[in-house]
Amino acid sequence: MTGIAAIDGGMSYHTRTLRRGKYARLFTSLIRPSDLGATDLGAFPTLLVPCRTNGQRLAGARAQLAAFMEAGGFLVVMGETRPDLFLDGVAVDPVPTNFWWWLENEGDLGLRITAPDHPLMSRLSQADLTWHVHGTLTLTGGGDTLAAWHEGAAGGPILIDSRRGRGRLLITTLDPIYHHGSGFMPATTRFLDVFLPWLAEETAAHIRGAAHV
Amino acid sequence: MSGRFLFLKNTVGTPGAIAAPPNGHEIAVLEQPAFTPDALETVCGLLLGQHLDEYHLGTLRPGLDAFLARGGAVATMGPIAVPYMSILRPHRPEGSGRRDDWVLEIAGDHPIVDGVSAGDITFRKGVVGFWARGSIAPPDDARIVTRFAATGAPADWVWHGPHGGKLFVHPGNDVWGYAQEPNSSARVFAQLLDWMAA
Repeated sequence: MTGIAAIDGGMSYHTRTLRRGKYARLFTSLIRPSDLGATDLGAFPTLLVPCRTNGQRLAGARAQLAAFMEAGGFLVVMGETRPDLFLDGVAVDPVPTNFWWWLENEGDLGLRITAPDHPLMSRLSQADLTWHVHGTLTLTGGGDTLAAWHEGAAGGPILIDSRRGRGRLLITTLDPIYHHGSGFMPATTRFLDVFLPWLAEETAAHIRGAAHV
Repeated sequence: MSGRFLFLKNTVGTPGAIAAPPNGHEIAVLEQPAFTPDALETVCGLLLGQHLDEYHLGTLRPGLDAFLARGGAVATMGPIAVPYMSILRPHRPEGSGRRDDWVLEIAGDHPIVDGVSAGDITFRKGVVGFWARGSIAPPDDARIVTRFAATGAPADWVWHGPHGGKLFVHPGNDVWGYAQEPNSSARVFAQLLDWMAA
């Protein structure tokens, strides 16, 4: 497999992002949640769990997903998926959604890029990931925090890149696929315009690296 | 008149207004993968939200169509990409995302929007687009409930079948998400259930 594999939950916003439009060519395999258990994930370098995939549907795949990363796979988990239901060592602390931050707090959501030299973040401006925040993350074993949100004493990481076994976990509470696929909030499309091609490049590099081992 | 409804759930949590429905209505909550049209035998109405698996629903199209045809009531939410009932069409975006594109107006008297102001469904703290950002094309004999002010394109609409079936199509965010809003948009969900049960 040469591209990104993704879980396809069948929601309208998954269809518009994974199957239609400018990003569809980046996805070479779409896996329905009901088919996940019978799927050999070893065939895929990268597996994306898109925004608002129902985490309950993936709960039975906890060991399978852990084994995927242990064996060198790159798992990417997006926002509003309840990753605590299907991943070990992940906690999400929900944040009340503020859709109107630009009318308050002097127009500052409180989100910051914290690793500007990371290959993904160097291509993004802060505005490209600023729409709203749903929660902060805590990972057992840590990782590199790429972006964080703070409001007063509250806050924490919202985008983390970490090693898991011989593989990798990139996890965020941002939900751009939901908004892009719903035709709402243009910043989410700007984020995906950078994020998904970067993910495709990482996937291709992963394949080339594996071929040279 | 209160009714018994079925709500299909494809999220981890259950929306508050679904868990505690208004006006004496009852709503049974069923995980979507467990749904078959047999579950419609004991309810008057089916509530289909924006986070459902449209491919799964599409495999059940004959049963959903039959429920509407025999007199059942169905409410659908969201910018549908893959229509799962024969009467539905894919969502078509309205305008180009400018504020004026998504300003709504009430198209006429209807019990679902009784006492509801166009401003309250159009704006949330001055922001447009939560209620509707496009159209799901209605059949010729549908009744338009709300429409886009700039173009007259339909937003919410209802359709009555020849054997008592009722369909409410809402192309935006789930209307039960407005049940706690501090304005007239909160009336819509309760009035929708009342209309479906009548």
